[in-house]
Amino acid sequence: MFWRNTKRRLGSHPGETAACLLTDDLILEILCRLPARSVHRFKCVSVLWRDLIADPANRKKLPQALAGFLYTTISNNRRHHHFASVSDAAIPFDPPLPYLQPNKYNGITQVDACNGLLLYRRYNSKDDSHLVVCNPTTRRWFELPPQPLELANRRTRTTGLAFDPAVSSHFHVLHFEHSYLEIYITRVNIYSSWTGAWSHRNCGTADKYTLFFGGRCVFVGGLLYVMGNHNYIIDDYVLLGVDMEGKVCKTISVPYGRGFGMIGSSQVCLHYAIPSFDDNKQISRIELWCLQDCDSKELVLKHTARFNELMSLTAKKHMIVGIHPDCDTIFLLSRGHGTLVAYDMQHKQVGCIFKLEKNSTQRYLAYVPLFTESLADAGGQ
Amino acid sequence: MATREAGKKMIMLKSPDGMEFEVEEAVAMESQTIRKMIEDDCADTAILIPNINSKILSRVIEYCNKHVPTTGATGAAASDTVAPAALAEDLKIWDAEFIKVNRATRFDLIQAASYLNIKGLLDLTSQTTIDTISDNSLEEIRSFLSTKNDYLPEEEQTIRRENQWAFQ
Repeated sequence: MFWRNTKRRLGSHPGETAACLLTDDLILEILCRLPARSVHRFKCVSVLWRDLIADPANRKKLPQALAGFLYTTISNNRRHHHFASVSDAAIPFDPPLPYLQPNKYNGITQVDACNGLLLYRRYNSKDDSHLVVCNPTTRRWFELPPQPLELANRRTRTTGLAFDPAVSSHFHVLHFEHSYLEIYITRVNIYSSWTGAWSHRNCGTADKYTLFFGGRCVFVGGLLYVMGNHNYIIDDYVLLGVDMEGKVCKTISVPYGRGFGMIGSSQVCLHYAIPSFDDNKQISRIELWCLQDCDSKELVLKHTARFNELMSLTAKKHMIVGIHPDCDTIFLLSRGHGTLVAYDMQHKQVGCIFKLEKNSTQRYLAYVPLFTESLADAGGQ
Repeated sequence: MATREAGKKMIMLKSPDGMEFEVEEAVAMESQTIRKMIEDDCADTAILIPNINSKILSRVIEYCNKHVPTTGATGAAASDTVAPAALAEDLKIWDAEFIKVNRATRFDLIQAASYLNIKGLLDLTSQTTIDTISDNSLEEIRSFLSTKNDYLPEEEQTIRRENQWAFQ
């Protein structure tokens, strides 16, 4: 009665030692502590392990791999939502998310994605919009309360989602804004699913940070990183590490490479990929930098791909749109071909090429499915 | 058998090979499985721990003895003078020594920790196994876990191709 009735499949042959008596449950206990990359490599150990890892009953426990990228296209003045799958698995959800778009809203935009949750903005007009956090895999979603008017009546620079299921089922949304007169960040508004309310922090005036409009946000190690410019100095780009109280805890200088880099979270570290361009505006070199641990304040160069290695890519205009969350692969948008190209920075190899819909925007949000039910505050929606 | 000795409630644990271990209730309750039995009043007589032999059970008790919180009702040996950080450091060193066992014993400990629901011990034993296997080749893992590669060659090729990114 007390003994869990699990089948012993590994080492069920007579005469084998106790070492082989790992039940499925125990194999799972071990697997759920591994990073996604190891888990997916271990699918190749045996048929049993593959089935165990792929079993829907176990998906909640095991780390999932990158499924693909959410992106939008614009045609006939309308925004269309798409999903570029990079795995062989079926597209995990219907990209337009019909249940998020009741008729009272004119449209919906993708704002951010973080560890399985998506942040959308539903809108009727510029002054009538709502933020929605959604787990498309479980179809649970939650509309954030409107920001207090005194907070809302300002200009948004960028909005980011901070969520780490390994730490908590709660999430934060950080909303960076500037006043009408200034272009540097004057205030950070923070929504916490823990308190269910918005709070804010006014930024000091000693250091003035200008964020790029709609810039990318990356949540790693408890900080939300955004890229900006420091005290209006041209070419002085920094990554700001902002905590969940809206305080800038860390500023990191980034290498300048005649173009904007892309930030991403990979292998639990902040990564930064930056291209250099030749005179024909083709990518001549790509560097991948990383922040080795949470306490570190300096990026370290991890890989460089040079012109000769990029030969097969540089014939058409490319731009970096994403970094793989589990390995040193970056994703390039090939404008000419309308494709997404995986490029392995470690082995300097072009990987898979994925076809995209025409007229895509430049914003690609990496999506890793999350199968756990709980979406803090969702209240059964 | 719940007896009283020097003010502490004692619990008798029995292994299937007939050994009996008398332990403080607080120590036994490090196991959520035993805690539930005690709370549900199923533990009047000795508790039989099925499938965990005396050798492994004694190691598990050793672990629980070390990890039982030293404050509160059982705080006779409480070390109020030791800082929590130093205590944690001491436990870490002790854990590292404790887990220096052969593969068979470690797997038995994982199994025992899972059944008895002792989170700390399960974390320790699983993590040590992960540290051993996470960077190894598939062949090494198969041999370590005594599992066979039962893929057909073409099946293996397909699954490897699908998960190519994980081999980088």
